Amino acid sequence: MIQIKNLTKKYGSTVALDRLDLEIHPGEIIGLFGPNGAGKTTLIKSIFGFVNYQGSITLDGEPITRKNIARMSFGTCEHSFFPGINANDHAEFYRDHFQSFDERRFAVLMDFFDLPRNKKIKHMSTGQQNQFEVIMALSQGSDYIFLDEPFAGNDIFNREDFYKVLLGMLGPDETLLLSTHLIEEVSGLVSRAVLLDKGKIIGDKQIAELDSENAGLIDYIKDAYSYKADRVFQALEQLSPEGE
Amino acid sequence: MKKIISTIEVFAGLTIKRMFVVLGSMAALELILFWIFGLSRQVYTFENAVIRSFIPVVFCAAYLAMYWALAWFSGRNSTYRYTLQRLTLSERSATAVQTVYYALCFLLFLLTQVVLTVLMAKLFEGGKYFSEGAQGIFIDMRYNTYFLYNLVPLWTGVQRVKSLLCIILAAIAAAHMNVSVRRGYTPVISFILAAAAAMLWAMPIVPHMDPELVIPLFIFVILIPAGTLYMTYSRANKGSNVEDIPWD
Repeated sequence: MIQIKNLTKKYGSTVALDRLDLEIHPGEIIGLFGPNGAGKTTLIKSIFGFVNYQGSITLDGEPITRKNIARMSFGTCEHSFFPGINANDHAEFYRDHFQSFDERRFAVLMDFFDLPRNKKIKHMSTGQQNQFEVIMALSQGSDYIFLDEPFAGNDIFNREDFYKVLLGMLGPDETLLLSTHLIEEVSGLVSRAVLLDKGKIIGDKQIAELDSENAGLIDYIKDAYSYKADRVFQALEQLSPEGE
Repeated sequence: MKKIISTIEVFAGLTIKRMFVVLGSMAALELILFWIFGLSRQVYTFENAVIRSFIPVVFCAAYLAMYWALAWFSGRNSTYRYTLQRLTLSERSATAVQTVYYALCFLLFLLTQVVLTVLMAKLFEGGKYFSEGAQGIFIDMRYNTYFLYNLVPLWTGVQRVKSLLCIILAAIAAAHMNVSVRRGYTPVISFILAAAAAMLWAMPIVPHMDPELVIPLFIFVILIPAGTLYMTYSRANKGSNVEDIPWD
């Protein structure tokens, strides 16, 4: 289990994360939602120690060090692959650095996305680069997989098929935290929704609970963010000649 | 060990093609210029043939190109430092590996120039204006020009130390540049260090230099790189809460 306690991150005077507490349990598929600037990416970067923070983050009770960091993998829309080498060389690198690198999963996903193995990643299209980023995160063989806006630039058909493959592929103890704006698309995939706003968790709910309440994920999110349904109408009204 | 080799392979994969383009271009350009200005005109000493063929200029330009080719890969469209930061090998260790790789690359660069110079000497020996004899070529390389003298790294102990120091300085400069670029800093000190390496290379340490200057110069070229090295490894670990453990 990843346990985050009292996590605070400031960029100068801006508070990106504000005394945040969160537990991530094995086997969960968590959707991390929130508007731009809510702190989603900073939260993930803090877990990996990419940024300095205050508070504590532990993995099975131990601080995250080089001894256990390989139990977590990361795929990001910023990309973290080496652009000047090809997919096969990446696989070799991962094999050397991550003992549990899943060769079979790598091969299946490369075929699924029909990605070239001998082409430098920088010569792939943005969509293919996103796919490759996700492939490496999923193939590392980690217990906790963090994906930060991984599908930006990918078409809907690829995304929908991929969600299906993902659901069938993940083992019972594999944990996925997916930060995305594509709420509707992932609503059938996630088992828990965590909502962030201004560095704080404003909602945390199991999808099973929502189902039992006959509530949809979108409605839950709109409710949590106090979505004003009439704001479109008001804006249009102000723009109309009568509104002047 | 496997992790270290694998990390070197990644850095090599990112840069080796560019490095060989630089080395190949340097070789081609030097030989063409030597053919035009050194062999086809009335030049009677090897020293003059080399200078008139702009070989030192090409060498200097190739050094700068080499420095750029090795270090200036920011990872456009990728923040690959996230991968380096979550290896069981720390980013600092990865940067140390990278520095060693760069040193090997600069050693190869120097050896390429040595081979080219020997080749040019052979060509000059077979040329129609050759008159100074093999001993003349030897004297040109041994005494007459710093450029040629510096390319014979096996003459004296001090010269060997100087060549090694130049390689280390260039490698540290390149590593500092790469770390700075991937961390979003301006690599100012890297440029200074790269220039210092070039100047040190061109300087007549032995036998023409005032011996009193040798010690301050060596301190200078040790202090600056040491500071740069410290800055490089601090930057390589900046923004990381991940505790370091030794290589396994």
